[in-house]
Amino acid sequence: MRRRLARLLADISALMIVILSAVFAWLQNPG
Amino acid sequence: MNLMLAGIAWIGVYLVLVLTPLLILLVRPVPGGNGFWWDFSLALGFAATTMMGVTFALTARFRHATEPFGIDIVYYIHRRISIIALLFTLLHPVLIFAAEPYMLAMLHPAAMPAHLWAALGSLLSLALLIATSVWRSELGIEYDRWRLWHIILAVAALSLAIVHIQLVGYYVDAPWKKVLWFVIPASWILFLAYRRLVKPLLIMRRPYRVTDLRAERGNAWTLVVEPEGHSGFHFQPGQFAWVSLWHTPFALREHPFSLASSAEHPERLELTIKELGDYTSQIGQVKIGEAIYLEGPYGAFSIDRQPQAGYVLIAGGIGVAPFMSILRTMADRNDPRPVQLYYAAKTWEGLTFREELETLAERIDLETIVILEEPPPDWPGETGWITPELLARHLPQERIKRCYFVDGPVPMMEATQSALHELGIPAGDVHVELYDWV
Repeated sequence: MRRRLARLLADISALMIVILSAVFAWLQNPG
Repeated sequence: MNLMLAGIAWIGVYLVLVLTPLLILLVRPVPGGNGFWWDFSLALGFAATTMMGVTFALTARFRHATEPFGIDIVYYIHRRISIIALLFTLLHPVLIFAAEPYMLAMLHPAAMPAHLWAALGSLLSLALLIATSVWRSELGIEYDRWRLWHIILAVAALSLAIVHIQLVGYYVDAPWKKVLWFVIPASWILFLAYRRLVKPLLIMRRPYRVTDLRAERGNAWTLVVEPEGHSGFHFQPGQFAWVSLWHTPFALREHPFSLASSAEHPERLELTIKELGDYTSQIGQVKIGEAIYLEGPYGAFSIDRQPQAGYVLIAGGIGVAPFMSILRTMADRNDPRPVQLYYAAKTWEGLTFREELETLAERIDLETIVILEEPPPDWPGETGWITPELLARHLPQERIKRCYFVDGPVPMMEATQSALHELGIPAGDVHVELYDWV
């Protein structure tokens, strides 16, 4: 249970890093 | 639910730590965009570097910060983040070369610039570090040797990533950004200094002394230790401590062992250790009066964190050690709650704590179900493995109201968790100690 929760949180945060990296790239290359 | 909120709060802190250095790069002066995939890959590379840094903090063993989750889960997150960082580190060059294929020519060893050698070194160090951690047992790498190489490779992976960033200079061309992008990632290594220099010093100031050594059934030994010149530490039954024996805490040779004694007597701690490997097979040679160092307590595997109406403890072999602490503590507290102990072992003769479990059953509401792999000819009890059918034969009617703790070899713990799931026990009521991080 704890392991599943930990994995979920780690994976969600990884996804957020990917999304924000994409935002970073989009800010540098608008349009 | 509190655990969930605490987890989300810590993940928020983690994201701030990883993403703030990335956002700093957007403060002017900023180089012009070089295409979405190019800048996306750069952002992933920068993020992977700070993620590598954060993993240093996760193994610094801050007792109070890790307490709500259990340190085993913090190490699990350390491992998970490292694997994700490796994935990002791999994606970084793949996306760059996909966006600008002409750059592949730079990979020729004769023409490869210094910053790419640094990047390659960082990537290989990280890959090797993760491979040797995930498959340590399969590769036959001894624990102490692995720890030393783990530290070397971790420092190499992060340092070479910093060198790569500094040599490329893209996004960090302004002097203040250059300094910041050296100071921030490099400062994570200070956590390693804390863990390896400051912490051992603090542990050495609170030494323990071996006051007794008892041979137990099943090739196990019980070490009795007492604090010397200090009051020791309070712990919850089921928790463990890192033990340094024959070496100072500065050495990498420390091992986690469950505290097997009653939590009501922190002035006299007992550790029961089975002879299983090179290190544990020497426990019987410990001399009375020998100095020993304990760091703890750690772990979330305790009845004190799960105040339920009753407990079911399922042990495989020496996995019974933390349960002895639970049972002894319940006896000392005159705890009236019912407990079932499923105890799987090889032989009746080798059943560690066999006699004491009988004595404990007179003091608390304890039912012990012994499951033997190699039973004697006239054995009337259970045999073989812990299965859903075996558990169903003995579990009480109100099984849903009980809290379950499982401890033993990893395959046994996994099989038992599946069996409990099959019997409809909610996953939130089943607690295990994760061992595959050591």
